[in-house]
Amino acid sequence: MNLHTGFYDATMGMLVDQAEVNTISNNLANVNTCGFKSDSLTFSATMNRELYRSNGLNLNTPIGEMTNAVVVSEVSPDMAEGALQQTNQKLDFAINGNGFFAVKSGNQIFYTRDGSFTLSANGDLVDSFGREVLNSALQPIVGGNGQPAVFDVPDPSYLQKVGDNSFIPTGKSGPFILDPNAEVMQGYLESSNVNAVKEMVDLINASTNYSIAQKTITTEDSMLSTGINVGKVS
Amino acid sequence: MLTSLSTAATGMNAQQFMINTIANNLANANTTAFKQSSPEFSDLAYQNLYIAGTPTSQTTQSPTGLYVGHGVQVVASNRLFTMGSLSSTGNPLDLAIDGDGFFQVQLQNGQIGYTRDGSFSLDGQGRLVTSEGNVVIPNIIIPQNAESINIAPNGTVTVTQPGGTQTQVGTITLVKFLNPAGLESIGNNVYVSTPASGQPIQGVANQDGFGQLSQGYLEASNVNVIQQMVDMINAQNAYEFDSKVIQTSNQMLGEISALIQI
Repeated sequence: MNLHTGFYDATMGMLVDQAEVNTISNNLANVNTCGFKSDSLTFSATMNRELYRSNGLNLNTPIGEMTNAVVVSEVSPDMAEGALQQTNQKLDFAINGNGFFAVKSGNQIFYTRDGSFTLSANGDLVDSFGREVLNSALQPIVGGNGQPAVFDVPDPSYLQKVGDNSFIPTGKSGPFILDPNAEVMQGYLESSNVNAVKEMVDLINASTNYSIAQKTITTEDSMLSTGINVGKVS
Repeated sequence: MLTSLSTAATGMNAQQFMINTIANNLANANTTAFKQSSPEFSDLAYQNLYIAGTPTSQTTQSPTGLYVGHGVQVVASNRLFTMGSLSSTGNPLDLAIDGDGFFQVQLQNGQIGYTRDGSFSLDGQGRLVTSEGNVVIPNIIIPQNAESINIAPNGTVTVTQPGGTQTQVGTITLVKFLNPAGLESIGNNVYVSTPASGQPIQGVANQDGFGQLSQGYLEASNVNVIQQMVDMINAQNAYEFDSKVIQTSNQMLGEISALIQI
């Protein structure tokens, strides 16, 4: 049935538009989440096939290439800085520039841009999840003395999101290293960097592409049924 | 498609929580010593289709991986303990704490409550009580024939009796907490301590970081009305974006069922 690869191509088109809408939905749901970084998808056309023209007698002349599938190739967070809002709360921090705060939960260290901290019952600086904020010696900050330290990786767009406004390093991002020159602003919070206009436009795009792909499928379908009816004996 | 529907629904729920919080803040814009709250959001867990670094061939690795998020959750309600402005009432039993600290009051169920609402009066036995009738700790008893009451910035209560004699009848002490945002509010402008707030630290007004008492003043609500209106606009717009996502997803779902033309 390779005459009707159009069916499967259009289906994959609908599937990638679905993935796009899922991502846009997550971005818009987090438009007010402190320190959130919006995600974007990139697509790629894959499964190149050579097309041949038959000359008869086993001679096939190549006439070109065609791709047969579209897939989501990458989902990456946009690490642009969100707007800094002044809150005048002593324990709110924001990083002006690159870098992340380090918070410790059990034995694992997570990295976040969300600097909305409070004091725990025994005086340690903690985030909204109760995870201890670390200073430059990777120790909890006791009694509100000391500044939260900032750590950075060589390539932050390859960090992995794990929810709870947190990131962890991956092989491609590189390890987190202390940045002693980072500018930490007290009394400020970084808002989400989701650009609502861009998301709405992308949403219109994705849903229109979805309709177009759906029309392709219904057109293929009616062509098939016309083909079936050609040889019908009435 | 169902993922984007439930993701947008979490967004709408979060914005609804935000509006509820803003509504409570604005309703209490004139409540003595009210402290405004703001909700704190975070993103939910991500589903990894594959993690960054997964080999894509013998020699290459996927640089960022493939993941999809599931929306937003409300994590905390932060109570902002900045001071409201002091307004003069002229009532000798009205007290405002100019700085840190809470008054202690005896609650009906035997617990100790903490409050910054210093609109006190006297009960039938001459004890200093709050507007609900809860007695201030330590008990201060004003004698019946007192002509005037003077409360010093450090909490010392002195009464003047007929004949000009001045007697000290007690000291109003204050407490403070390591993490006042961890206090639980039980209504009536009263807080109780929780494991997150830490133990109350006893002290005297105007010493060791405690604020001083201002007689004849009340602390106003610290709600910043302008900021609340801006937050309300933001929440409403975010709510609308999420509803547009739901409408779009719904429309896309409808197109799936229109695929089969029977």
